[in-house]
Amino acid sequence: MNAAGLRAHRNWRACLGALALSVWAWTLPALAQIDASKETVLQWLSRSQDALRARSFVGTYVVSAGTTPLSSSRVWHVCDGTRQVERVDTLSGVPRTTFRRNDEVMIFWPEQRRVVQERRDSLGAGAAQLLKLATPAVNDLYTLRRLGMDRVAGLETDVVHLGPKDALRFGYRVWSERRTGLVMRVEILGSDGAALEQAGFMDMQLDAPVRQDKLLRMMVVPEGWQLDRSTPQRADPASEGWSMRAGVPGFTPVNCYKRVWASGPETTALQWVFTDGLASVSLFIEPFDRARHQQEGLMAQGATHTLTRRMTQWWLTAVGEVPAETLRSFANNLERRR
Amino acid sequence: MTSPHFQDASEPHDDKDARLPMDEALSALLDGELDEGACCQLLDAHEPEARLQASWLTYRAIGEAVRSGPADWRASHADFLAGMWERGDQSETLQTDAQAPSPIAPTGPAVRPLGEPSGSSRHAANEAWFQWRWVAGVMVIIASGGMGWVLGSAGALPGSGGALLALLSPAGASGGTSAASRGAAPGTLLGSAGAVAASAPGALIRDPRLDDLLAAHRQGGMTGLATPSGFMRAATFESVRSTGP
Repeated sequence: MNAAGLRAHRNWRACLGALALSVWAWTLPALAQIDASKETVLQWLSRSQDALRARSFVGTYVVSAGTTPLSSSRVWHVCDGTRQVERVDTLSGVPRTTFRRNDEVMIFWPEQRRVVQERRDSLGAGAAQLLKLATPAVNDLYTLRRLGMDRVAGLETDVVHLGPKDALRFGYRVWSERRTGLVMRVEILGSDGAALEQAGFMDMQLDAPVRQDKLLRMMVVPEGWQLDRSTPQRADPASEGWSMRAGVPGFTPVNCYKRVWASGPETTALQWVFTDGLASVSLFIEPFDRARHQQEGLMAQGATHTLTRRMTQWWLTAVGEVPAETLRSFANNLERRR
Repeated sequence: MTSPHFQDASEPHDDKDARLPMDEALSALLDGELDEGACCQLLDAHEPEARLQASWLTYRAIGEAVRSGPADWRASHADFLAGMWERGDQSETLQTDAQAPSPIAPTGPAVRPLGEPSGSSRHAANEAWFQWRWVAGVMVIIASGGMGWVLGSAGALPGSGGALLALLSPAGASGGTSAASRGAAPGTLLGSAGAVAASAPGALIRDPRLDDLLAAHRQGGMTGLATPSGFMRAATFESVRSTGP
């Protein structure tokens, strides 16, 4: 090959290379989109969980359910990878500050100079793991569909629709921050697509310089304040004489507690918690009290439905962010073994 | 917060000198007499504190009472708050327009189709569009706090504690099933006044212990979606309870 031929050959190879590069560059976004569209519900949930473990932020959080008064709070969150610390100050209703260190929660009621300290199994490092073990079927219960992009509190978000595959659960529309996956806003949707309940950040300062040590120092009970410890006792439904005749499709039992309320008439109730990975149902079972338990029926507060039913000497209150039919199914399948 | 124990972790400043003209500025804002620059200055200077909320509601009540009589102001306030989530009401648009080009109008679909440039690249931060959105957002935060404050105070009246729920359907009745299956229509939970238990759908049920059960469910319920935000939701939402622990 002479010099001119060699040059032509090189030019031809360069052209081919450029063409290949441009085709690759052109298809790259499409490929990324295809990969993103293959993300399962479980993977998407894991990403949103991880976002909270790696970020600190300060924001204003607003909850709106049905026609209840709008609730808002100021939130500080910081995590060093293993220990999550949060502070939530209510901006509406009764003044209250809630601190969380993993699964340890302290609620300060300044007007009453009272602090309630409790441990919640539904929080902390073990909760996410428990959920993964308890809800392997979440991919079979919900579909994940990307709706597009939006801005929430000044941040770019991806919007996804988590649609139920049956009538036993509600759908969700979720706005998650594009970079981190942090959930910025959630809507729980009825079967007609209308939002029953909404919660999200109205403003958000991501990666804010929140100091964990400073938050932790605030979790000290001030002198002269009353401290009450309130940790529900773990219980076994079978030992308490309760079982489910048949499971409600998709829902797995995850926890059971015995709770005591000392305020007002003292009450002890068994709380049996079920989840399908997104929605949660609590069955509260307590001895029937003719004075208090007067009305069986079904009630609603945003997406949270409540069903009350008498079971001979017992009173069932089923609560969950699920359709009424799901609660009926739970109530119909609950049985007393002794 | 009343105790010095609760000094802010992110060290917000407290500009006390700016408080004196605040009431005048707030009043002017409600009367539509505050120019944009002064409005931003006002909002920059103040966190959504109780005094500001109180002033906001007072001026709003006065204004509404003068214009339309005392009975209407709370309702119009609720309408104002409803605007905060108005983009959420465009759910149908979200579902159907995800692949369609978005309208040019600034009140276009809440969700931009994939690949469309972001809002920040289309609007300069100092455009009026941005200013209005920002101002509206902050005002809604303040107003929501104020609304909660008013209703929370109402709920704190003696003897008003306890959940008050509207009965969708009494046990055994088939009525209300379809409404319940698609999620209760807004309005099924009412405020904290009165106490009735009856068997007809729509009747009110009040049980002080129901508040405790709902709170226990929010605290103990497990959901993959809410494990991050569930705590915040519970900590925020529980504030509806007026009687404390």
